[in-house]
Amino acid sequence: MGASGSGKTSMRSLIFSNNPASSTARLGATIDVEQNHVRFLGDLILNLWDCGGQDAFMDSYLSTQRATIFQHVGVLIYVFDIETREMNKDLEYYRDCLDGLTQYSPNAAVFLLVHKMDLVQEPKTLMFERKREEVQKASGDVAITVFGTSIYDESLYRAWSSIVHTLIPNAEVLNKHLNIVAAACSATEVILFERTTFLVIATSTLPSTSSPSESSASSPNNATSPTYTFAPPSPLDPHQMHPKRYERTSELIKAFKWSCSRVREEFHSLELDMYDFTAVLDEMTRNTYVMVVVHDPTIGEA
Amino acid sequence: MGTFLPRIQSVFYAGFDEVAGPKIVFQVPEGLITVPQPVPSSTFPSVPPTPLSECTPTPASLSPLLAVASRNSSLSAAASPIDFRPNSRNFSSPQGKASSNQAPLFNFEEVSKLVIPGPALCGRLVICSTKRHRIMGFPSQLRGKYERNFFRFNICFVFERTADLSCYEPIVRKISRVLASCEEESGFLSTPNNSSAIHAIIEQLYEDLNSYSETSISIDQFNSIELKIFPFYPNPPPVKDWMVPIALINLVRRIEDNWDLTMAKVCRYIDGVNHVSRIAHLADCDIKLTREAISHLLYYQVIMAVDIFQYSNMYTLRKSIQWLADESHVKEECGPYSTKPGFPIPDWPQLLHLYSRMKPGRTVLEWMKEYNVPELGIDVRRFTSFGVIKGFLRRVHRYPIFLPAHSSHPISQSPTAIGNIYNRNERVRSLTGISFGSSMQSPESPTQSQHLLRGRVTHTPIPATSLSPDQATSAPSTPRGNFNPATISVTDTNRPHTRPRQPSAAERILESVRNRDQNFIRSPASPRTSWLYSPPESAATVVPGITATASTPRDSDNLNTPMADHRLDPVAAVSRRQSLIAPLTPTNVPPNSPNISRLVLNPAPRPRIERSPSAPITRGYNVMGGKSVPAPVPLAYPTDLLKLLDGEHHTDELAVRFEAGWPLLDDWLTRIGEGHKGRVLIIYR
Repeated sequence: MGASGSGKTSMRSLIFSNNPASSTARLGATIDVEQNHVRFLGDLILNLWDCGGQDAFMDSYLSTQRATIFQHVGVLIYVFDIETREMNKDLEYYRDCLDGLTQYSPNAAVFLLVHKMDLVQEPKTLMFERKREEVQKASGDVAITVFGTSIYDESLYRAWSSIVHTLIPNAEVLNKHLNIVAAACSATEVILFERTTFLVIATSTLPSTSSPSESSASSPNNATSPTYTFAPPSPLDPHQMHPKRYERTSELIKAFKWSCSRVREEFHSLELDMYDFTAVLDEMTRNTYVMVVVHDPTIGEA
Repeated sequence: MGTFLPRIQSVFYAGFDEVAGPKIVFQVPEGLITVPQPVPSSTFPSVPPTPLSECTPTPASLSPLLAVASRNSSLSAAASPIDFRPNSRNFSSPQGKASSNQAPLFNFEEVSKLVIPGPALCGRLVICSTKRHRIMGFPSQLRGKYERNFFRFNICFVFERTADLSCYEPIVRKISRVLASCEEESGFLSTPNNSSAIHAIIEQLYEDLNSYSETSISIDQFNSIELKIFPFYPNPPPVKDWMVPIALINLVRRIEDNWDLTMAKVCRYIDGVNHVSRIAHLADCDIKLTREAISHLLYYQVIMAVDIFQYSNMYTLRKSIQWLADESHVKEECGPYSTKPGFPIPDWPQLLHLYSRMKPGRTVLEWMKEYNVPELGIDVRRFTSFGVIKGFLRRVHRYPIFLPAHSSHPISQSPTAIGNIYNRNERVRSLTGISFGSSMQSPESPTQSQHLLRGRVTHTPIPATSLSPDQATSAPSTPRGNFNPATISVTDTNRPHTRPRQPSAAERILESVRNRDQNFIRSPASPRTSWLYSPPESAATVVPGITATASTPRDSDNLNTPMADHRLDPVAAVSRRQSLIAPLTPTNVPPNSPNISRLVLNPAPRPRIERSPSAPITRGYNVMGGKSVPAPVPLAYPTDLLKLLDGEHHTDELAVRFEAGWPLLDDWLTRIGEGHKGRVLIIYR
């Protein structure tokens, strides 16, 4: 949910419908609620409701459709346009929605996305922090997680990967298994992606450290580091892996997939053989892709 | 007959505001459709939700005195008291209060999803209903240089829920189309300055369509909306040549100079007696044009089509008699309509009794005789047509179907196909099931089984024929109405059958010639025959009962000249028949006396309805005892007839097509049955 024109449908189009960012300019206003059914990991089905943000619709969600909208909610994703001129009105609607949510689905997770970050002048982090405080205040004592996002960079993938991660019931188990796999192939890292959206489902922990910028932390109460801070590579990380590699990978692979589809080909797998590492990305199950990153030069691809 | 156009209760123009969402921009008359409205906190909301608005404000019940926090950005978040915030919404009409003369019809929110719908419904006519109303609109979604890439709008008409909206559909579509193109060309609707112009258009639509059922609104210098509501009738059924139109209004009086010529000519001959091809002939019009004209009249529902009245017809009551028998208009009108002048009008129970005695399997003639109808002074034609028009009497047609003994015959298909045919006719009343079974086993002499089934054909036994007196008696005694297999055996025993050797056609012709002379003296006891052979002088008197309405046109003068032009002239018709004869009968046809007799007949007025030049009265399939007249005259049947015996064409149609009366047709069917290996069955439907 979110104010009208805040970017909800664009996000949905980018991540779940695999359209490039440029195509979102041609989308029209959402009339009432549009639903997406996303199949995750075989039998997990995410029902994504994109609610139109115009006043008439919001009023109706809060009154006549209240029960329909707010019942059985797993995650509420509220989108704020960082450039909005009616922040008060937005906040007011937000509070009402939060009320509705706590009334009908008190256990739902709340994610707030401060969107259109690409339009903000530098310093971005300042603006972002300010917004974050505002929404934090408006949320009262409901636990929230805030991300800054833009469809033009990888931050959107980061936010959504986190969101989805909370919904996967056995994230820990997956992590453990990935660790085993990583150890088995002497890989630096093994990452599990969802097939259609390429959101990160799980990763193996790096052998030397659990990086604080990993988004695999499942507790939503972690104060997530602002996306736009460039964290210096942890000294414990021998390979100096970029903290934003997951989302960047998602974004890049998605873009590549889209390019393939334009020439009517399908993307299957990727193999990168660089001088210091090898990375292989391939299908694992019907719904997942796995990427194995190996730094050991002696290991070749099987 | 006037058409009733439902009244437009309201017209509104709805759009999609990019901030506020779907909303009504203008509505005429004002205030009928309520919209949820945030009331500024300074005033207490004194307009309670109107009783007619269907949308209930929320679970939380708040006293109406509580202020509603506005969502305007002018109000800071801190100032709005959270406790008071609704959950309660007040409904008011856009102008602040409902217009005084009418209570609001409904709430916009109920229908907003269908007035401004998602892309799937745009570009389609959408009709939605609330509890008491129907709203018809044509939502449009136009892509263009708009802030959210699309411009959505809809112009909707509000009616009573029970109204018939079919005539407004083209109007709504057209308005939408015109406005959409105006918007595409010049941004007419989206330009903010034009709102008053749009308002004016909506108002004019509402006023004009309600008052005049038409309107012409100019939108700008180049565009205009021209609308006219036409009453919407369903398409008429196809017009067949054997249908008889009956006028429901006085058509002739309404003929004007600018009428279509064919129509003007045809109208004069619509008298409830003439069937379409006869009308075409009398009016001297092309048959196709005549059909068109009749079709037009049917469309406007100024005529009704019934079937040709013949004494060999069979009728039956329909279920609607149950309530129609109690209708006062039926009871009161039947007597005066059906009684001949000069006779006392029988009362309704008596007439109802007569109606109830009509069954499939009993011809009108039999019925008349049995119940002594002529004595009551009832004009049988009008009596039956009254029942048909009112809808409680139905004609039972005969559908002849030819079943070959072998499946190689082109007309009837394989046994399974025949089974199919019968399955299709749900109300097949013939004995086809049984007969079929039996016949397939024994491709035998068609005579026997055909005979058995032909017994079903209850034609009027003509007392004239001395040839088949027992036929006369036995025919009526065949079980009527229930055509289940059990009765077959009954017929078996009844039928004096194994048909003896049939007299040849020649014999029959001679017989008929002989009988004809007797006919002229005959009384209405054999109305059919007199029908066939009315001599010129009796043109006016014809058949009893007909005179009450229109004189059955039998003028010879009328007939002879046009006949030559439009139809096969009689001689040619005869010779046509003759030429067909040759391949079918082995005997040589001496074209002598029978033909001459035929020719003699023809210049005499041919009966229009029966149109049989010289049908032998006798249907001799049951002819007993040979006639001793040997002269063979081939009176076989036209080859086309065979092709049409597929159970789809009833005898009226065949009769009109081949210009043969029922007796002749009957005879032909007999011959077909015996000529080819197979049988002809008659299905009553």
